[in-house]
Amino acid sequence: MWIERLTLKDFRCFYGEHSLTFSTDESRNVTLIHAENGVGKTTLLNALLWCFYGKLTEKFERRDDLVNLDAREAGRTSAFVEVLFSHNNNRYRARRHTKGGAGDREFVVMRLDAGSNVPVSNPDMFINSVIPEDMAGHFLFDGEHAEVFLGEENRAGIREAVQDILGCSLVRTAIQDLTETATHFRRQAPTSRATAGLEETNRRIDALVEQAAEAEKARDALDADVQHVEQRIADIEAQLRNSTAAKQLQAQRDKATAQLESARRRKREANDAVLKWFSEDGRYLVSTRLSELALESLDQKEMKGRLPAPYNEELVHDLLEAHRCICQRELTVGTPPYEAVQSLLQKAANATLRDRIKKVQTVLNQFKRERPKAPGRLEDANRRVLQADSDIATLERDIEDVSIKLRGIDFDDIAEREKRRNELRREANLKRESIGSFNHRIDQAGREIESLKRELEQLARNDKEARTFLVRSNFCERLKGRLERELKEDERAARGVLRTSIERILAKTSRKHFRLRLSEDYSVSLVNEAGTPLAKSGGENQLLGLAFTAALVEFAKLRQNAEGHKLLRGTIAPLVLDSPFGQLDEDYRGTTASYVPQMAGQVVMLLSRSQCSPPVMDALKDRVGEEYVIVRHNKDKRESRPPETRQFHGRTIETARFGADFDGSTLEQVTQL
Amino acid sequence: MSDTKDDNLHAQRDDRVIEEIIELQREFYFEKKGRQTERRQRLRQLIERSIGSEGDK
Repeated sequence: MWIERLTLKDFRCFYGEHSLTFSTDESRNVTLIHAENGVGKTTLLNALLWCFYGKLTEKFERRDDLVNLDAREAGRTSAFVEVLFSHNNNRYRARRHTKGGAGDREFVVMRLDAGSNVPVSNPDMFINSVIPEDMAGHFLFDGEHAEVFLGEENRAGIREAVQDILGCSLVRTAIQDLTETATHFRRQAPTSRATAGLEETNRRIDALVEQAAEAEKARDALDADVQHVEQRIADIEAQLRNSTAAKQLQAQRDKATAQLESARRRKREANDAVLKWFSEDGRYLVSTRLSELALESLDQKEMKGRLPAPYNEELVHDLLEAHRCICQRELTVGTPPYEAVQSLLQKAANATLRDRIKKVQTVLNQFKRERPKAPGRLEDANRRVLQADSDIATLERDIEDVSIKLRGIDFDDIAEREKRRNELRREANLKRESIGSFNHRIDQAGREIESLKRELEQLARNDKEARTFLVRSNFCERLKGRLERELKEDERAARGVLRTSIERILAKTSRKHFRLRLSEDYSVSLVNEAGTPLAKSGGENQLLGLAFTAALVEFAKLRQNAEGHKLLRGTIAPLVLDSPFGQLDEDYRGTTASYVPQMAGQVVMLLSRSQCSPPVMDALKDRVGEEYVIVRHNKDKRESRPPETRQFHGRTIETARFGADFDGSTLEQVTQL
Repeated sequence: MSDTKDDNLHAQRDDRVIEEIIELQREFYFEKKGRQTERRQRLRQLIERSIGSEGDK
């Protein structure tokens, strides 16, 4: 979608009808809108959202009060927003009226077809197919959007964003619906004499599901707290790293911490090896005598021709059927010779028996072969556990020594910072313990639920109707499980694409070299080459937010022709950025401003005077195709207020006017000619 | 052998039902937004129809 023009009539602070033409020139793809606080930047952004989806951003105040006050005083009762746009080589006009403004139809979309307007039959559906509503928020970016990605605290928000752009809406609701439907069917199973206890078991399952959900909520909140505390620890460590007195000690601690992590990993691996030994190699020793005797016995019997027997089943059957022995004696049914030959069948060898004996011999020979090696493997694993334990103890002591030394440094506020760091570390550890306990509760509830479900199945065994409902419920659970697994896999792939994009964008815009860590649980952090989390300044957080948005937009474009029926296709849409440079310093602003035009085909930027610093304007000057300023009109007299003016390409524009006929805003085009 | 055959039949049925569920979600996402009760009612019917009264043997 490319937006060509936005028209507002009596919409919030815009009194009367106003239009804004967006640049559709690919080489000058930026439309710049200058606006100070409180003059209508957020209204413009909300006008687009409202026109397309009838919704407003969360922080938009007086949401039900959309008609301009002076327009109402003048007797007008409705407002509208109209967007002229092109999509897939067609041009459209979407218009939404406030309630009662245009008869029954508040929202219409017309296709402009050779001079005539052809109404689109289902406008909501059409707009959703152009930009799915869930994706729209990531294009119409209200400045606060970046907060979602700040630091590591909002994993849920990040996950939702990735899922939105991945087009998971259908799968997400399908999973929710299947969960609800599985519960519905489970509860529907009727209780009868044959299924007494069904109701009680169902109640217990419901209670456990609720407990698990509450525990998950509490755990997630604690998890977010831990991430927050860890970020504060990383901040303090960065300060210590930058302080001359503490630099060496902190470097020593960084090194010891990395080694400690590695020793802990080695210990885990060695412990796993010990456990593996017990489950795999232990049997070679435990069964020494038994396997020796068995192999010996098999070998002896084989040597004596007893096992397998020297004659096979097929031969005995042939003799009995032919009624003649090998010695040519006649075998008549019921006679002692016939029965003597028939009795051979009890010991006769057949293909299955021969195969089994072969397999037993192979296993016993393996036991014999592996037995001498097994003790060595256990000793080696135990030695590795001991070595790792010893390393861990030494490194923990080293780290504690560094901490004591840091606390002992009696200048600046290093000691205080170190003390605070240790307090935070203790806080994080305590919270982690609570997380562990919640996880344990969740696991336990999960196991109990599974066991109760098995109990339900047992109870329903004697009642066909109850069984049918449980089968339906289990069917829903199975389909849900499959969708969840597939979604997880799609998300994993999406994270990989996004991580690469963000790293590339940060490499272009940031002055530091770092890698992005976007884990499976959606925690985001910047780390150095050694994997140590780095403290981020406010500006870097904002940069990360912008990089994330840019990566999402890029991913949506990449997915515009995606195949497959489960995920919605991506889209190309204009990117609207409201005050994107807030916390960036001048150098970052310049670098970022030169990157912003590359973030999407069409970019709209709303900037206040303070954001239009020389590096920003210099970076944008050759990319701006249209430029507007929002002018504020006031009915009040100017009195002692100083004039508020701005210069645009040699024109002086008064941005706050007094003694006007209305209170509200207008748009003035200031594009360089 | 017959177990494998049953597994394949189940997998094919699961594929088909998942496809139908997604189609249902698509219909409501684009055309009948916000009508959750109706959507879930349709899903129940779809499951009942797919699994039959005898259940998943």
